[in-house]
Amino acid sequence: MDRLFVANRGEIALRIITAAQAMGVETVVGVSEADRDSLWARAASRALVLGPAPARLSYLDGRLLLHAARASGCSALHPGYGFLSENAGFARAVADAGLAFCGPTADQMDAVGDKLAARALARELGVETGQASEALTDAADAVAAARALGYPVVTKASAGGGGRGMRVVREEAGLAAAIAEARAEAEAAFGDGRIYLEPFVEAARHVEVQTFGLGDGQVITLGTRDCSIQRRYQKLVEEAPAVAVPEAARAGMEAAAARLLGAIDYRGAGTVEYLWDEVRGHYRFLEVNARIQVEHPVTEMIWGIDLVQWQIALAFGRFELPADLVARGHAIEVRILAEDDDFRPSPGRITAWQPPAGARVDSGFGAGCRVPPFYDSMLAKLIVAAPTRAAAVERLQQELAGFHVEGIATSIPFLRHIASHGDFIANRLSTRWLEAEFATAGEHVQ
Amino acid sequence: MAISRADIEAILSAFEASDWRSINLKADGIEVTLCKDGGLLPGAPAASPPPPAPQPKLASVSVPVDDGSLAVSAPSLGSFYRAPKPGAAPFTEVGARVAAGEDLCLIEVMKLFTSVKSPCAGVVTAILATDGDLMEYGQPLFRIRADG
Repeated sequence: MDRLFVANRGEIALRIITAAQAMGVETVVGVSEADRDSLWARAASRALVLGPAPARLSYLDGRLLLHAARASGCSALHPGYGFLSENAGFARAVADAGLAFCGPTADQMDAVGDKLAARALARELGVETGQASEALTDAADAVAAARALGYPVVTKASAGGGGRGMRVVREEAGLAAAIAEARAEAEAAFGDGRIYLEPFVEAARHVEVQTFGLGDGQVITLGTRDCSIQRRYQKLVEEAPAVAVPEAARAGMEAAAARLLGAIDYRGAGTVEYLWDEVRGHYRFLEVNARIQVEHPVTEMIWGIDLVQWQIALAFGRFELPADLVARGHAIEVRILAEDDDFRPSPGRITAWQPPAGARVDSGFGAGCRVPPFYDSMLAKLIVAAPTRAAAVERLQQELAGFHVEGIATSIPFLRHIASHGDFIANRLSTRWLEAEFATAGEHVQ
Repeated sequence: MAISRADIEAILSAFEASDWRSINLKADGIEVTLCKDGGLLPGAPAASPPPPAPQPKLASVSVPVDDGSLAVSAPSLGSFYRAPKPGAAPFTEVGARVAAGEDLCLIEVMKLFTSVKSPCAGVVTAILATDGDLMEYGQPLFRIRADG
């Protein structure tokens, strides 16, 4: 029997375990001491405690994960998102140990997972990329690069993702401190402190293309997602398709994504991200996320597919492309975080967890679960689908109204506020919208 | 109020994040001893030979058990080896005396071997793992009755 090692935690660990079990694949999950009684530890065929709570001693320790995977007889490993999912060294070690990696090869990760390398490849293939500096070397180099781009600029981590290493710098006085902070954050999160600069676009949409590569040059594109509602570069609400962008531009983004990933024989799920400049009516390549993403369910909902099962099937050599792939309707996902009204983490014991009946909820937690303070604050995702965006928004409002959690504070009240906001209903959004609209922490509580 | 497993987890996390080499905490009849970087406990015999490379990076946790002995547990997930190499004599046996800081076993993680050391001088009263077994973090490996 095929056996899969799950090298992640939270909702995605449970999502992978459930997907594997539906395919008749056994699962072993590596957990930290803090997660030994988690839902995913209980759902897997076997759970192994890797180390203590701090991620660097458990979920970020590739040697422990790989030893656990081998010693427990697994022949494939799924890295989820975050943690080591885009670490080429880890992907290489997994392959060298003779296990299939649910994701791209280490070389493909090197080619596109690193943001600076991905930009270079995109330019080579004629994909529109915005301006950016190279990796910054010293203070003088940074000052010169920022002046050349023009303020405001934003720092980015070459190894980055999830907003880590990103700081907006509006004037030269704040540049050195922002870079130092960004570098420290990137170093801590990814073990790679390379930072570069991009001009900061004030009003744009974040649009991305879901792809799935077969590893032989064939790359399937599965439409677009609009993830413009972000707080501190963390996506909060995601939709598919990106209906605010003209069809022709969306088709251009899809074609460019296929060209980019096809050129390197990309294997598995990957996302190509763009900034859509509404004023100028053009898109610019941002980066490739060489992994499954948090927001993959909105794509699944409109295409009627299971991307995690696709990943697992590809790893075990039993992937078959469905005969007719058609997207229908509109889907919206919201991220339910363990955060209070001031966006502070609220770990603790969940005493009541009542998701709306009938809606898709991808969750790692339930009633009685303890949310440990050591990790990302995301608890679950609520996903709705309907024939049109308007109907999906209405459905989202209803489902959020029926989502009831006690014991810890969650982002549900804030999400309800977003879902009933006129700008959201009318789809008048940008990546700056949320912070501009909810500038004062706690304003949404009324 | 008794010290719970969660309290020990919290102490361990704080210890891992700190620059401290070792801590020894006594409260409510429970004693927790943590050490890292191969550091011996304060007061351990200075005559002990320096630990061979590679040095253990993680703390091993010693928790008292009912019969008054200390349980020495795995500092991380890994494979348990009782001897320094295949065919060699085991580091220790049930009933044997050990000095504080003496090697008890090896935990192997992807060919990197970490020695687990005795937290105290005493007698090994139980060996709780079998050679070659995959051990989880925190899983008890030995019981040692401390002198005195």
